Amino acid sequence: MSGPKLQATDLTFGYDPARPVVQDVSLHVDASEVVFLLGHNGSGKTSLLACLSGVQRANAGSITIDGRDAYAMTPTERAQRIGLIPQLHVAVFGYDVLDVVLMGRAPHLSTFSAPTREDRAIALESLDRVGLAGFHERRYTQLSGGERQLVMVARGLTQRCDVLLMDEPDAHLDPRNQLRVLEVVSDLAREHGLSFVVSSHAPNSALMFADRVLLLRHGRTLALGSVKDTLTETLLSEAYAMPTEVISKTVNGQRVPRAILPRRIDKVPDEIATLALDPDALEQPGSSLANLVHASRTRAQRTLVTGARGTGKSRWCERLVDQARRRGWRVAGVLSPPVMDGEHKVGIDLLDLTTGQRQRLADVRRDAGQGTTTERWRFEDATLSWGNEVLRRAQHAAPQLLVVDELGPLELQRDAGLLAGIAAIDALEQGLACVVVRPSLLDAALKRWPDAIVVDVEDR
Amino acid sequence: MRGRLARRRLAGPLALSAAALALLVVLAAGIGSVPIGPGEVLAATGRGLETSLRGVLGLAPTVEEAGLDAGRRVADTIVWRIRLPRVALAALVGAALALAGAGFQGVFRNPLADPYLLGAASGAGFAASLVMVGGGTVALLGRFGVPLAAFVGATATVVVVVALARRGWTLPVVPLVLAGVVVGSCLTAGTSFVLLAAREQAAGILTWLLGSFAFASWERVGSVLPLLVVAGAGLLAAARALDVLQLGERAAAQLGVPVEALKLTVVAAGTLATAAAVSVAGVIGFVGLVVPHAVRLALGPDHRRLVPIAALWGAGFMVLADLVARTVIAPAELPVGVVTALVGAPFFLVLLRRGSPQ
Repeated sequence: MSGPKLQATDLTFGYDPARPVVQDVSLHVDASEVVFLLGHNGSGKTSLLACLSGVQRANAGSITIDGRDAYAMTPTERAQRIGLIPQLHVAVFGYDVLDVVLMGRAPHLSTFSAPTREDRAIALESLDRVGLAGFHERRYTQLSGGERQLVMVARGLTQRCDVLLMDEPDAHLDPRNQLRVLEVVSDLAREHGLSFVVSSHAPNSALMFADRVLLLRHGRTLALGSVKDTLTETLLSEAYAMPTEVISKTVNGQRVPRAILPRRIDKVPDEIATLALDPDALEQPGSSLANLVHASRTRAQRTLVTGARGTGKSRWCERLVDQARRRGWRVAGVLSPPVMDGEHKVGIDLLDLTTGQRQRLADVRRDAGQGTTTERWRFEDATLSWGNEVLRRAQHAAPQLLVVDELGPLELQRDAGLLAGIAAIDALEQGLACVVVRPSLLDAALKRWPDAIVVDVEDR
Repeated sequence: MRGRLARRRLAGPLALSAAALALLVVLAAGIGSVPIGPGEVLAATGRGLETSLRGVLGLAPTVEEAGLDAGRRVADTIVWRIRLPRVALAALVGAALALAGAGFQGVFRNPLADPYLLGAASGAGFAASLVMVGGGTVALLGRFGVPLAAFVGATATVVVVVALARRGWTLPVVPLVLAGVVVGSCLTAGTSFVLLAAREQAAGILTWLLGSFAFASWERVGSVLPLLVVAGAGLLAAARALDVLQLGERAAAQLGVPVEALKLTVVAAGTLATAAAVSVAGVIGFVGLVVPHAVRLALGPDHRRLVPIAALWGAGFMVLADLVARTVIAPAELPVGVVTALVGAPFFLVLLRRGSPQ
């Protein structure tokens, strides 16, 4: 017979019906299909599996198994069609593996009947199918986590059901055992026509083993469909409320997603080409920096100095300034060295490179945000206007090296702060300009100076 | 490594355990200030049974009994009136505690569970001590006063604990155990207060609390036996479901096990057995904790084997413990609870050192 093995329609469930943890979720599972459930902690994966298995009765919606109403069946009838394998459990007492697998025969036995020779044969065959032939006399408590998970799969097979629901079978397992368990799942689906619904916190497992994916967010369906349609950067970023990156490989002219990674904030995006420059190689013949300096004699060369927080962007500029001064260059602009209290950065100074004067630019923010502030800092308006004055003077000095450390959200997003720095960079006709920009603002800076060269100080 | 047969079969170990218990009972009934041989014990038992049956059926005593010599008559009295009721009661109490322990460990999936986990002992102790102190006012209850109070105290405590822990129609395990511990502590504090206030009766209460079979009688055997049979039947019926429950409540429910009904059945059966035991023998520790573990070590954790064999081994262990209690410092007696603790505690420590009890 065709049609879905398992069909859930508009399921809504909550331990407290006023606060549903699963809401209007529909899902069908065909024979031989592996469907992955992905979603953040508390997104309703486990509750949905409990509903699908019949252990919890949904407050609304329906479930059919092979077209028959699942809630009209007795628990035993249901258990002969659907199996539930909860998260890796720790057995307290040392049962033999065979005894554990035989527990899957429970729906087929009455209260006082003991498992028969036939039940035992089914259990042994199931162990064989999950690759644990010969394990039947081993002690369950002495198996590895991966083997125990496979014993649970065998227990499900012994139930002789066609749909197995698995709650995070890859949790607590090392990569090799994750692969081992999921490969067994995959084989059982392909070769024996079993259907699986697998909840997981590993989108990469879904990428490798899922036929279809249900993305849950706060108990609702965010997306349901093929791997290609669901495991996208946009949907995954939304599902996990975290910038997510899908790395693809081109195979036979087609983009195939291969890995899903969280995108680290404050990391230079891969699509921006960066250059590694050694500030000490200022006049070293043939070095990239020397070439850049040479070009700057006829036309201004702008560099955006970037790198994650604490990687030494200011330090990089300082070294360059040292090298330039040693050669008698006209150096102008500002540096913003950190003010440290022990290991903590508690403030930022502003240093005029021409005069060596220094003023406190910003302090760690303690108030609710009066005056000029960003998320972390409260800026001195007096220092900002002094800095703008310094930068205006720098612009008129026609420097060979102009440093603006740094242009942040104030300047690039809010049209405030050291705006004279932007003007100075814009106005430069000859010479080398170094602008310190954090990675998250690179796009904004590149929009302003599209031909700027990006220097990644982390890249060595 | 246990042999495969040992882990699969029930009949063999069951017959062996029953035979060993029977032998133990006969030997224990023969040992004491007046030693009596096994043959004599069996003969006296036979005559005692026959006389009782005739009494029940309203028949006249046999000629043979009337014509017995004086020595025989003394032996019969010692065996049938004194030692055998005591040995039988010890066996029943041991069986009841081991059954309850096996049931509670299985249903709570906790190797540290024992029959007193839900406060049965504290409830029984508090009620019994109250009755002993207020002796005069409850005299109308007669010699059943203390046992009845202990039984009611034990069962009522567990009923209260279950009522406190239940959430609607479900009985979550962790709140249940916590409620048991808390209610038990309160009642133990109450008992301590009664002990302090009692003065003269304090020694008697303390003796009862530590457990003793000194007041054994066929009547007490008769009051425990039916309760034990009911509790044992309940636990045997639950045995296979208890195995499946070890997969976790959710998996067991999915496999068709009526989890809430199972928990209630086992808690009720275990409480009945515990209350029956405590009412006639006081609070005897360690038997319910240790015996199920010993059976698991030897025969595996399968509850269909564990439940009946733990009952037999519990019976045997208690008969031995009582034998030690009444002979080592004869003519005085040790509280039997002291003996079970002295044997049980080291055994349990060995189990702990070996890692998880198998």
